[in-house]
Amino acid sequence: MTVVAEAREVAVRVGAATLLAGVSLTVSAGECVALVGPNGAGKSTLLRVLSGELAPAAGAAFLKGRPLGTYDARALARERAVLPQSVHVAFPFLVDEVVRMGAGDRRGARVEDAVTESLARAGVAHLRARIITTLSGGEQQRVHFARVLVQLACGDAEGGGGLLLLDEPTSSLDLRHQLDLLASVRACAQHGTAVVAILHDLNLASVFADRVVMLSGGRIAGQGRAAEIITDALLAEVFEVRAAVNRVPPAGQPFVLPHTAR
Amino acid sequence: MSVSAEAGARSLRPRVAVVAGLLLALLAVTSFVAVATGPAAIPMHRLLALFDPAGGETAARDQLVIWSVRLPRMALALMVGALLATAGAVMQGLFRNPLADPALVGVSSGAALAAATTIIVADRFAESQVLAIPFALLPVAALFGALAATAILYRLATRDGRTSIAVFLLAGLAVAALANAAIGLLVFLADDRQLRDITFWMLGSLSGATWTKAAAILPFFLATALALPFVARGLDCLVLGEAEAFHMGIAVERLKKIAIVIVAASVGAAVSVSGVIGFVGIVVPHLLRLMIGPAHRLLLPASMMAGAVLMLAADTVARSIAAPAELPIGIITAIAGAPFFLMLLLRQRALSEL
Repeated sequence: MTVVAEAREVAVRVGAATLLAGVSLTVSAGECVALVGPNGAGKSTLLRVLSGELAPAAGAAFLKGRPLGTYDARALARERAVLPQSVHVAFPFLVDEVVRMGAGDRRGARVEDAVTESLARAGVAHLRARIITTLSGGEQQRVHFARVLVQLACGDAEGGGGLLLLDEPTSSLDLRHQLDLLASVRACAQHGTAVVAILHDLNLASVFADRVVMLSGGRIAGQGRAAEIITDALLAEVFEVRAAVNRVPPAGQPFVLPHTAR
Repeated sequence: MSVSAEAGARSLRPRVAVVAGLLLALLAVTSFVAVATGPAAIPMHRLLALFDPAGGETAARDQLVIWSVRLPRMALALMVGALLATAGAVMQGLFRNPLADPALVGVSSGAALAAATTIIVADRFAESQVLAIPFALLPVAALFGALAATAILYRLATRDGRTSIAVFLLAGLAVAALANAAIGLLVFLADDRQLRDITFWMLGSLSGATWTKAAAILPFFLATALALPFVARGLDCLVLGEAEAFHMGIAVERLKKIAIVIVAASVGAAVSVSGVIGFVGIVVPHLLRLMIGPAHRLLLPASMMAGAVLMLAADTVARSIAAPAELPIGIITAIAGAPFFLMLLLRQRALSEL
């Protein structure tokens, strides 16, 4: 499989604090990677490095084999899209206008199709004529997801499967929309998009991800299939909780209930 | 369903042609009134007679009044209004806050300080000359002052690439206070003639408009108008945040620099010919956002036109309300704008307390 995103021995420091200390990660086309780990583990920092927003102090990050530093903002936007944790829209834009921003300055039938389809996939088609600042947090998050889908669709049409980065995409969604969003993301992956998502819910990560990457203190504490990573031992080591991981038969998906934690 | 939803989304915003038509109509009416109004009133039938080559003595006199007094003043008012309103709209987009205004946060004060300094210093160096102040130097100085004030504010408010609105506004008040204090000092040092010149900057007025002044700010007007299409999409994306704008393909640092130069150049040019005229930059974009939405592709050119209309109307009021005397136009815009600004502030507070 083609490698889409790669971090090679990436280190990030802010003042005396080390946010990332030599993290290496590759993400292939069509793959869904979940980043998990406690607060301050460096998940968001790693995402910012992969997005090209943050240049690492040491090491290097690549997108489709090219160093991220050699892309300009416009070229980068064609290849990768980012869904931030929360977005504050300062002026009363319509949902339709916000979603359209994902298309850049492109116009035409293909953009109209992408907008209509993305609104439907994010479940916000009925909010199209609303002013975004009047929506609930979860609704706004879905609108921005639709915007990101438009950006991906426009980029894919020009450069092939890109990179989708999501920072806690389910944080303000209800259960149904959490599952819907992750299903949409998996559908993107099936079309060749490489996906990296920060997820706090280990159970969602377990269902969603082809590979779970657990970060701790700016390093990768473990990566692999969910069943290999979400284990009693790693949870105790990384999250400092003693929880009994259970398995759902017959697939053997691991799940964690807070009830078992002490 | 999606078709009707799309139609619904579109119908919330008026069509571009309607907005442009309405603003053009307003511009035509205001221009007409502005040309006809004044100490030497020129009624309708005489305006029409101007186009008659055999109009006689009255027509010749009217022509002189219009060509050498009314029209240059009108041109100046239109351009100053357009520049101030556009500077406001760009600055509000840049700082993601509808309360940002060049006059409020010290950019205009910086320009006025530079102009006042130039008046005093240039006068000292050129006392022997009849035309003491090299005219071309003033706009350049005002421009430099506006640019310097904006750059200082931006530096103060930005840390780690993030611009704090609160710091920006407060620092702006401090910069404005400092600049005003320095102007006060210059006023103290000035002789009578210099004092009159400085007072002109502080109150804002379009009296003494000439074709030369209009020609001096024409390049700024044109440059600003031409630059707007290049920042419109970027400012839209910036409304979601700087990181988000970068994710959507905007070269954010470059956009911010261009926006700052537009603001500083517009305000500097406007202040250099008309002094400090407040509230146009805040009232016009805000009213337009309510009517046509916040998308900058339409908002920026609309601000340009509406600012021009508003300034021309305000100037017509300023020179006719106490005729034959003239009120400084800054007083008119402040009387109309300050309550509006308060209303805006209270509305925003109500929103943030939700």
